[in-house]
Amino acid sequence: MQLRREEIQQLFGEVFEADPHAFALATGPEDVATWDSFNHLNLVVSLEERAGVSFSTDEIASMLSVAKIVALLREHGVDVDWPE
Amino acid sequence: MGVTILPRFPMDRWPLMQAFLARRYRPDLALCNREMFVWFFRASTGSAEIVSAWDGDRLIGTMGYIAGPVFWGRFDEPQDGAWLVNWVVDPDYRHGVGIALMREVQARFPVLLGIGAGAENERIVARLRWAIFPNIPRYVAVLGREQSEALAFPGAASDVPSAVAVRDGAERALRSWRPDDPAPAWERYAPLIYGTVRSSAYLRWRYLEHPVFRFEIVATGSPAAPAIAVYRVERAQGTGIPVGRVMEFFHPGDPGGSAAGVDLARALLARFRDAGCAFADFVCSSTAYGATLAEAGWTFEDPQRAALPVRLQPVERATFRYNLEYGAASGLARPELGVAYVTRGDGDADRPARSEDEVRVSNA
Repeated sequence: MQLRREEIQQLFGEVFEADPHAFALATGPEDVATWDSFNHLNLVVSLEERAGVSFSTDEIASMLSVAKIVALLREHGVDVDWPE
Repeated sequence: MGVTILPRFPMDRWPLMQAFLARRYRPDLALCNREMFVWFFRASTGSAEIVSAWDGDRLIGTMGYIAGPVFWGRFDEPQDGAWLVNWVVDPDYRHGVGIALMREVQARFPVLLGIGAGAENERIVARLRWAIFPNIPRYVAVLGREQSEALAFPGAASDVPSAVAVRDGAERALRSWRPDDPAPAWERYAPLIYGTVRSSAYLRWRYLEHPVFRFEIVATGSPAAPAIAVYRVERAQGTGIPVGRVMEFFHPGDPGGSAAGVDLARALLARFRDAGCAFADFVCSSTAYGATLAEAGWTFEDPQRAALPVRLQPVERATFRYNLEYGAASGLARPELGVAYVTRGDGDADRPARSEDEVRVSNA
């Protein structure tokens, strides 16, 4: 499974109804007004559906930045093309 | 933030739970009473049926569950099910902790159910592709029109149904039923094919061991396959007017069982009339059992024309409906509401409103 930066940004943009380009690796819940509990769940489910992975409870609770989410995707074997 | 998820809540941390519930709900929540909490979450063994989330020593989230077998399309192969209650997370932690709690119970129970969920929880489970039904039907029978009108919503007295005709002597068909009687042959109770197994253990825990409410379990019909009902009489706060609350009503689906069901429904009316009840009600998803009640004179309540309060502590003079949500693991059926057997006895829909002693005197 491979995901490009633009695809992930697009997913974030759809979930949070925001400009996809606003999502950088350092972006977290405090930076996005619509990053509430529902949209966090929406994000988790959308990522799992898109990448074909299943996150553990510990992983879900640790998803507090785009960088962390990208790292988790990589740990699940997803080839993420998003240079640091 | 390092969040830890515990599959059960250790009761040696009870003061933290009590403070959390008081903070997230209110200090007089019934579950802030330890006796009520221990009973409801079956914590007598030292841990409670609550998945809990922790940040160090701080309790930050809970997902309570009432675990037990559920029939899910087959009587010979019950599934592990759980009714979810008290799913709540501290506001500072609402970015993943709630989902982590949900995942914990999803991993353990193929069938998860909820009743009376709030709008936010309903939105969340909709995203998880759960089935959601906004209105579990309610059946009512008015026994005292004047008393019922005194409890009716403002301006809705004319919508109170006519008083039902109660057959004298109908209550003579009733006998007490003990959950330690031999378990019924469930396959004869076709309308119970989707829902919590009303086993002896369940009925004993849910009704006879309740720390606050007093329930009666009664039956009619053949001892081998009886029609069974569970009820209590509740006094409306502030008025003292008694109201009959039926929590369970089920009978075999064959002609003899259906006749016993009609007898039971009629006998309940006589019992409630004799107790001076203004009205009686039963919240139940089953279309089949609704038809039995209708045959005995009970009325399906049109949600658009509801006039009688559901919640009586205090009397809530506005429409209130119980919703039902469920999520079933891949490969399991997704039944419609009418073929399921869900009542106000399920989940936490019939919990005392407050922890204060006045709850005790609200019961007749």
